[in-house]
Amino acid sequence: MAEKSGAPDPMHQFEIVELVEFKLFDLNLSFTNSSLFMVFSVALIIFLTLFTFNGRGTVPTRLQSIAELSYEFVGKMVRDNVGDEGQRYFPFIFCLFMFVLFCNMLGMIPYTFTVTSHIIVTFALAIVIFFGVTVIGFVMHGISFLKFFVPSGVPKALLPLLVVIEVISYLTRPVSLSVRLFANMMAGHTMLKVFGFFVAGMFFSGNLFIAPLGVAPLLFITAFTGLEILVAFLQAYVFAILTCIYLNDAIHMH
Amino acid sequence: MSESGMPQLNAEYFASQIFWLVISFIILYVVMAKYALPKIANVIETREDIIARDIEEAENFKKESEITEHGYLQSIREAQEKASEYLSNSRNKLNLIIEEENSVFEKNSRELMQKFESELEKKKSSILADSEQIAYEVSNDIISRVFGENPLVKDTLKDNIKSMVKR
Repeated sequence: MAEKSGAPDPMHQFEIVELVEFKLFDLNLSFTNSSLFMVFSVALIIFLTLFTFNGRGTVPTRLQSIAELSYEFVGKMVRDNVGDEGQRYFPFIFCLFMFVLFCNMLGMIPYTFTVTSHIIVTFALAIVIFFGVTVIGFVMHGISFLKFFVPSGVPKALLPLLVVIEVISYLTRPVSLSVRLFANMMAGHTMLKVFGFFVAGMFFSGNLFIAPLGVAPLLFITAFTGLEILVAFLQAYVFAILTCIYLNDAIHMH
Repeated sequence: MSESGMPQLNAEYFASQIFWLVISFIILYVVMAKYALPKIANVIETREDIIARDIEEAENFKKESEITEHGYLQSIREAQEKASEYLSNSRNKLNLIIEEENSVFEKNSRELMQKFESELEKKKSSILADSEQIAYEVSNDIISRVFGENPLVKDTLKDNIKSMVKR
C-alpha cells in the first residue's frame, strides 16, 4: 500500500479484506470485512428489535425504547410521505433505514469498516428501490404511469423537451441516491483519517515547536466526529425519506 | 496488494458485496416483517390499551369521589339546617315562655295598681268628706261665736262649703 513514500494512505480503510474465501463458479463471493459488518449490522438490528423487549410491561426497557422510537419514527415518515397505501411497504422502509443507519454508525467506531462507503452497496440498494418503485407505478396505474413524465399545464411546444428532462431526472434517481450516501460516508471518513494522520504526524514529529500544535487537528477531529455521527444519521434518514418520496410518486403520481 | 486509488472502484469484490448485501438484507427483511415489527406494533398497541384503560379507570374513580364529595356536602348542609331549626325552635319556645311570664306579671301588676288606685280613691273621698265636715264645724263654730245661733245661717253655710269642697 504505502511502500513508495512511507506516507499513510487515507483510503486504506476502505479496502476489502477477504476473511473466508468462497467462490461460486467463477465469481468471487468471499466473506469479507464488508460482509462481516453487514451481518453484524443485521444481527444488531435483530437483537435490538427482538430481544430487548421485557415481556409485556408497560414501561419499556432502554433498548426497547430505542426500538420503539425507531419504529414510530419510520412509521411516521411513511405515513406522512406516502399515506395509508404506504403501510404495505413500511417493513421495507424500516429495514432500509435501520440497515443504512447501523452500517453508518458502526463505521464511526475506529478500526471498523463502513459498508455504506462503497458505491456498489449503495447503488445496489438504490437500483432495487428504483426498479421496485417503477414496477409498483406500472402495476398501480398501468401504462398511464407514463403520464408521470408529462408535466401538466405546459405549452405543447415545450413538451418534448420537458419529457426528456423528466425521464432523465427519473433515471438519475438511483445514481443520485446512491452517490449521495456513498460520497458522504467516504468523504467524512477520509477527512477523519487525514486529520488523524496530521495529529499523529505532528505529535511524533520530534520537533518541539510542531508537536504541541498537534492539539489543533485533534480538537478539530473531535468536533468533526460529532458532525460525522450526525451525518451518519442524517444520510440514513435522507435515504429512507427519498425512498418514501419515490414510492409516493409511484403510488399517487403527482 | 491493491493498486492505489479508491478501493471502491475495485471491481474484484463487487459480486461478493452484492451477494452478502442481498443475503443479509433478505434475512433482515424476513425477521423484521415476520417477527420484530408485528411484535413491536403489538407491544405499543397493548401499552396504549393499558394506558387508555387506566385513564378510564381513573376517570371513574374521579366521578365516584365527586359523588361522595357531593353526598358529604349534602349531609353537612342538612346538619346545618337541622341545627338552625333546633336553634330557632328553642328560641321560639323561650320567647313564648318569656311572653307568658310577662303577661302574668303585667296582669298581676295591673290588678295591684287598680287595687291601689281604688283604695287611694276611697281614701281621697273619705278625706274630702272629713274635710267638709271639719270646714263646716270650724266655720259654724266661728259663725255661731260671731253671730250667735242662727239656723238660716247654718244652712247657707253648709251649702257654700259643699260647693267649695266640690270645686
